[in-house]
Amino acid sequence: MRQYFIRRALLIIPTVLGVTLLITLLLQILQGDIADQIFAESATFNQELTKEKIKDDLGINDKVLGSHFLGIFKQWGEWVGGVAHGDFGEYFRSRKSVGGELKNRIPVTLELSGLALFFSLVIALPIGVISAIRQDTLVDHTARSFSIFMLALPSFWLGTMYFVIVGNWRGWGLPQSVGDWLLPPSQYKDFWVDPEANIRQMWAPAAILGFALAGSVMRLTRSQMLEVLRQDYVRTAWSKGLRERTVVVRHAIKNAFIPVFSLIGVQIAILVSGSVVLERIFGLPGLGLMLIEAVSQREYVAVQGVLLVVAVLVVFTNFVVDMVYSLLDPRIRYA
Amino acid sequence: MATDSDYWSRFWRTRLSRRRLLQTSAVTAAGLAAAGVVGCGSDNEKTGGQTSTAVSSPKAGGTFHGPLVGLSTGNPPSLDPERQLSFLAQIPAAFHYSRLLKFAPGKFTDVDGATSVQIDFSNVEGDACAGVPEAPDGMTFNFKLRDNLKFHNIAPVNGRAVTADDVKHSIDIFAAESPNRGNWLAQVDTVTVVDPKTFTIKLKKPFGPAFQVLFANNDGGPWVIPAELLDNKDQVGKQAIGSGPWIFDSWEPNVVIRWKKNPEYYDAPKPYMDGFEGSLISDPEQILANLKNGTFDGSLWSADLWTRGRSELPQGQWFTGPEHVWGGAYFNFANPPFNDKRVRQALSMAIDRPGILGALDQPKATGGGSGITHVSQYEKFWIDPIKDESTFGPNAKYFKRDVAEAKKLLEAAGYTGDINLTANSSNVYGAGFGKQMEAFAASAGEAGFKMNLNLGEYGGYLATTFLGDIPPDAIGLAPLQGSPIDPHNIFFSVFHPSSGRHNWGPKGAVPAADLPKANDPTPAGDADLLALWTKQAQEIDPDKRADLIKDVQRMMAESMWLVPWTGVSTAYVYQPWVKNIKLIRGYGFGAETAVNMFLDKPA
Repeated sequence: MRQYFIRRALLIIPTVLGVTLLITLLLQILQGDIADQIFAESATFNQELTKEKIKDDLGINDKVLGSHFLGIFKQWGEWVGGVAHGDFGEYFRSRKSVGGELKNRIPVTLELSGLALFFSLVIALPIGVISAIRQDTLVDHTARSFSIFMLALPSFWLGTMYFVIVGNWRGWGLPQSVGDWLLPPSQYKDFWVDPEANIRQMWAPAAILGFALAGSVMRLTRSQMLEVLRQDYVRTAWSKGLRERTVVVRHAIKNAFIPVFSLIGVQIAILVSGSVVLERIFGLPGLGLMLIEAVSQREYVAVQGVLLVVAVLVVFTNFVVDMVYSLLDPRIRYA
Repeated sequence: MATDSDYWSRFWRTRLSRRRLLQTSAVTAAGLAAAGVVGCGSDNEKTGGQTSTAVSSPKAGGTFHGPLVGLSTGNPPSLDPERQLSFLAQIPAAFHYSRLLKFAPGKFTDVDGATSVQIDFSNVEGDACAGVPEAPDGMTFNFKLRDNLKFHNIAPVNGRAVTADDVKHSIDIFAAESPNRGNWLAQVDTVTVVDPKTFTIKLKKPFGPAFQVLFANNDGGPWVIPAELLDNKDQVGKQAIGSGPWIFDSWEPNVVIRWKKNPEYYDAPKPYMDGFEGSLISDPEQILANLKNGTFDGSLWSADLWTRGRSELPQGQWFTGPEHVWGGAYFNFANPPFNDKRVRQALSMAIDRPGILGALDQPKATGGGSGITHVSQYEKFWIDPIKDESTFGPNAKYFKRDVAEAKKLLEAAGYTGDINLTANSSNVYGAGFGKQMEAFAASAGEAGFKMNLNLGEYGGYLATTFLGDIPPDAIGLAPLQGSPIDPHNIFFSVFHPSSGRHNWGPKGAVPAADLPKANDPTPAGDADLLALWTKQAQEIDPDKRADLIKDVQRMMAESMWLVPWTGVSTAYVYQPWVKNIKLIRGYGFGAETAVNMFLDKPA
């Protein structure tokens, strides 16, 4: 087990380095840079202006922007070296620290993703289990239809419709206290500053994001439960006269949830990317909004920073999932 | 030929019906934000959509809440307005920094239960300076700073008086580093400090729009910033210390920018409100929900959601006005067919501008320009070629839809079949512009221009098509300038061959010494137009200059270097308890409008 752990842990390093290099290379494909943007924004006669002058004014040059092939690797090396020392660089325009911005943004996205995962599991697991143990009944058919419904509805549409509907809460005769929980505050509050305002802001987008993920988790839970319920040891449990609850909870669920756990690990990446849209709709200052703005403003250093964090998050989560998986299923670590 | 009603019904049935479902999630983008601010004077205050009596005595206190730039809100790239020209950097600057001069309210009219304000930057008044200087020769301006003008009481300036040296230093940095410094360098000869409160700006030659373009410009003009901050490049993008009506308090990215009232403001007791919190959210549904909930006091609204907004917020005070985001179809003259004037004229004549306006959901009574020309819809300079054909003259025909004539022009140019085109633009401009683009393309199709819309990513679009890098069989189709302060800025940034950012191809500036270029199929070869652009710039009599600009329109209607699209309307909404809304178009909202507003909210 220790060898397996060390092997998997060591694999994280080249994976993350590879991702960062890939990010740096892919950024070169993007058309235009920050100098193009500032050049285009100028609104008066600018005979004197050139992109080179803008780069000089910003204190940047081709080395930083990486316009030459070898320069790209040098830039990547310098950036990785900075990150290794905790320096994620600065925004070109405002000279804000990218690391400082990431520090503010990561908790927002993690909270949203964590809450969404919670909602997803609360919805999906019970329904998946019930659907399996009541196979081909009305309950099962309804649950399966519901899962397709969850998969089919895009979260951006649900987010938009949420505001369309709750915007009218005053016409429903509800008390103000209920309305305050329905309509998220217009300004994000950190959990440690104002927990109530934070949860009022977070629950709706988390539920919507979780709702979108719940469909696939529910379907996998159902199929795994069906498979496990047909195993010999479960049949043995039934033949011993155990109660349904005991058979399902004590013998079936544990084994059925192993692949589901793996799926949840994969979904972390989906959660983080899915939060991009919902952060915009609900005005949450997370990594998603930071990434969108950094790409559109060609703040390459910030783009690299966000993508590195996401990559590390995904790689680390999958590492944890693999470790737990190997604990749950000994066949993995001895394979 | 198909009738108008045929193609419009087909267009809306096949395109817009699906898009209507999605419009609620769309964000009207930067261009629309640039439509700026519209409004009314205090003697025509609106309450609940009804005209009410004059404003009561200003009530002090309260904090305004609302999205900073309505549906186009976003993070400023930086708080440094001298070096960053995005409207998202300029609009916050007007809250905390002063300019030499600022704009005063223009005309407004009552229309359809709303208030419409024209685009009019002819009225200027003192901001940092005590008044508007006279310059009989049109070249020498003696400015006197206000006696009670102080920087905010924040370290390291700690509320010290603003001096002429501060102004000169701000101008020096602007002239050296601002991407918008071109006009300044072209026009200004010297800036001389006379004494701590007086300075003189001498121009190289008379410049007609000097007040608007140089001294009151809120779109990348010189702002008065203390040297202690301006010279600290690591700080000026993150902090703001000025002498404006509002003291910058905090900026939480993607959340809010907060300002507090400046108690030492030169025009105290203004601002009347204790604070202003500009939310950095842009989702239209979230904005509307917060307006309905009373959480927001007001917002820039999207004209393409005009009817819905008014029906869901009938108690709001609604404002509108003509389009102030200017653009259209633009070309690379290195490639056929648009290097042929007749093809450009044909495209313009193929466009059904009144039809497009009629089909869009917008405040029609305020009259977006039915045939917006090569200037924006300025009160003083603009002639409507469709509604005022006699004033415009014979070239008005190029703005009137005549498909048969358009086809004749194409035949004469050697094009008998369809012309297949890709119309490059960006998805960032949002639903309203998206509809305009679709309608433009549908309309042009009747004459044989078959357009495939290509809405690309903003950064890539800016770096290529916007700057004239347009491939063969493609055109650009987009807003090109938001809230231009004066027609001069359109002529000399979008069109002029010596302008680095001109929005046509082949890309790249032509040295002024090489102009005009004989037989050049671009504006660089249009000697008459180049001369007229220069002439209007040097005319200091406002009325004569207006006549020259009208002549520019007539001339550009014929050359059609760019085919202007229709001008839709802009929209704003405020809650009934927001009073004294003296709205002015442009980016100077914080110093020109918010400073006068007060809240009279029921307990």
